[in-house]
Amino acid sequence: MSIGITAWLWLIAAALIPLIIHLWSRKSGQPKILPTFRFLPEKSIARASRIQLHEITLLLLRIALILLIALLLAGLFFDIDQEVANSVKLSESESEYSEEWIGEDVLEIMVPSERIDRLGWWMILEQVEYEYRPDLIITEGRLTADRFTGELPELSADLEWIPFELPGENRQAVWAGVENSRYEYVQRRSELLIESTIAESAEPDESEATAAPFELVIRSDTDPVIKRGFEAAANLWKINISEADLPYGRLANVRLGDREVSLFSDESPGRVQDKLKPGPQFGITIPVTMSDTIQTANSSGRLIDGGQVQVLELKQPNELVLKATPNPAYAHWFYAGVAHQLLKTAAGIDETLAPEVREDQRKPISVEEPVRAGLIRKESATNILLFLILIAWAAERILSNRRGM
Amino acid sequence: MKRELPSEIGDLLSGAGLAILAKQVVDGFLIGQHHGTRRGTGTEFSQYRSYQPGDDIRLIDWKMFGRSDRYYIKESETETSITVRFFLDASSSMEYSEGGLNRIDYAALIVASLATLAQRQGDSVGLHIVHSGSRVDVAPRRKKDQLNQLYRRLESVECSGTWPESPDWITECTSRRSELWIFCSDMLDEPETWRSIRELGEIFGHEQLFIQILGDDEIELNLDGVTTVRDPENHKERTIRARSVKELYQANLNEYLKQLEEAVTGRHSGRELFSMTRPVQDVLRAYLGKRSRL
Repeated sequence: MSIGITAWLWLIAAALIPLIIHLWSRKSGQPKILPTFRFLPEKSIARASRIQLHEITLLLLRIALILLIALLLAGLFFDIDQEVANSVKLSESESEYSEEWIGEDVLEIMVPSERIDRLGWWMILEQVEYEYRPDLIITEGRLTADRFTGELPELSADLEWIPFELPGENRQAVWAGVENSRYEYVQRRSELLIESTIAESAEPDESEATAAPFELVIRSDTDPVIKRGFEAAANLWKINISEADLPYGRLANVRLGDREVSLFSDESPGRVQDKLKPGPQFGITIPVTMSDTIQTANSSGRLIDGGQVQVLELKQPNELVLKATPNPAYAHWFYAGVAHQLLKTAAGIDETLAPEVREDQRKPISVEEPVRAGLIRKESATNILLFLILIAWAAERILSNRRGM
Repeated sequence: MKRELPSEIGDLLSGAGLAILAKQVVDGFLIGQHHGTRRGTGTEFSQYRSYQPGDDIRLIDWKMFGRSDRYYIKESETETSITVRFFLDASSSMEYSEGGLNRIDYAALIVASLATLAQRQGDSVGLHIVHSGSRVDVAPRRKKDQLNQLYRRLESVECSGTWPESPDWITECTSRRSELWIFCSDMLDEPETWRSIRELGEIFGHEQLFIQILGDDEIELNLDGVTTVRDPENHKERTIRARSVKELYQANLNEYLKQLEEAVTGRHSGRELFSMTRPVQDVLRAYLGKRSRL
């Protein structure tokens, strides 16, 4: 037997209450005046001091009732031992049905891709956690951002990720820089953390996309501070920046070969304006969200302390909308980030994000001994506890009514 | 379950004055059953008898003489007024309270109501508040102010001590006239004490009504769990579990009540047991029953 929520165990102390009441009620307190005193039989003293059997029964019933309620609230469950390891491996499969079998050390569950797409990894992990309460969940499959929507669940198991179909290093875009040099935007994926680098490549690779010139155009009446931000981004990408009269509402335009993406400013009344303050990665990695994504921003996009604000939204493949503006004091770095995202979008670099896994959950488990015989199937004791509470309560009522206590 | 109290007891608990309450009780009681209080000799015809020498010639029925040519005296049954003496027990045990109502307050209301009724019927009323230490006497009178004096005394009763064991004191509280003695007490003393009082009353030729007032809890011992109880008169204490001793207690009490009944019941005396939740009008009814025998 194990306890789910130990915080409720303090309620067990309440079992002392019936005991205290019982002892208290035996203390008779102020004597009651009884003029017919002399009609009392002599042996009443001896009888009074003896505890009667039904009193003890009633006392025990009341204590049991409180203990059962405490255990119910504390989420008591029974451990049912199974001859398998205490880890679960989830593997993505192309089959239509979910399959599971007990491997050497782990319980392996094959989860259909369709189910993962529909529910997302988090929900599946939550189900596994609830059902088997393993110490370790190993997840193998396609780990892309669209599969990590929704709230991050509270998981007590350690997590291990085995991604597939993700190259260790992925060259995403190639363009011509200011001095007609060839530049590459490289995304390296190691341990599901994205590492971005812009590098000058020495040898043109014919198999890659032909180098095309990058053009970044901003409004000619752009505020000098915002312009500085755009210039910082252009400098990072080693491209030129030019000014032109752009149509109303359009802040900037980027062209890379045939692809053209525009940055618009959101003029809706609900937008967050002039308020954003620096978050941990303010300035260069502002997340871009899709218009159909429920999550407005992931944790790296937490620009306002304690809150999450949607900053950039990709409305159309070629329309990026700026939905929030910063506190003017931070405008320079903020617009550098906006321009960086605009350029990434134009370069067609996918916005695949790493699953937001807590630091301790990212650590692979080092298993010194093979884990054996330990996957414990845990069954909630709620029904049994409710049944016992009902019986104890009924017995208490019957006994207390009959004895007038 | 909470018992519904008679209205006058509810009023008594809420602190209404004794005088007003007593009058209310009597007024309510008399509606529909009071026959009037005309008094005087010769209102009820009884019989004719022959004139004897020495009879007052004014009493000769001249109409009868006209019809029969003989002298007849018309005799009537004269309605006599009597003296009603109340003996109110003011011993410590009368301070017993149940549901906020003191036995002494309930007894005082009974005495006040009976005195009011008696006064209206033309009787003279007197009061003796009795306990072992001392006695407060209000001599019987028929004057108008008598009731007010009675109410005042009743409202200032203080309980202490016990009911006197010897009945000698009662000889100081009687007259040669026909009297009705009404005792208001819990009568928890020895039956012999009450027997001697009854016998003394009979020697004097008085009617006696013993009104015994007990609380429901005293009769049924309705106490929860383990309780310490104290005798108010000798201050002894004992811890009891009411449920365990109830049966024996009630047997003892019933035995005592039987002895008491036997001790105070006679040709001219009777006992009425009242619980403190009974309407005062029931007492008035018992009183009228007794009064009609005089």
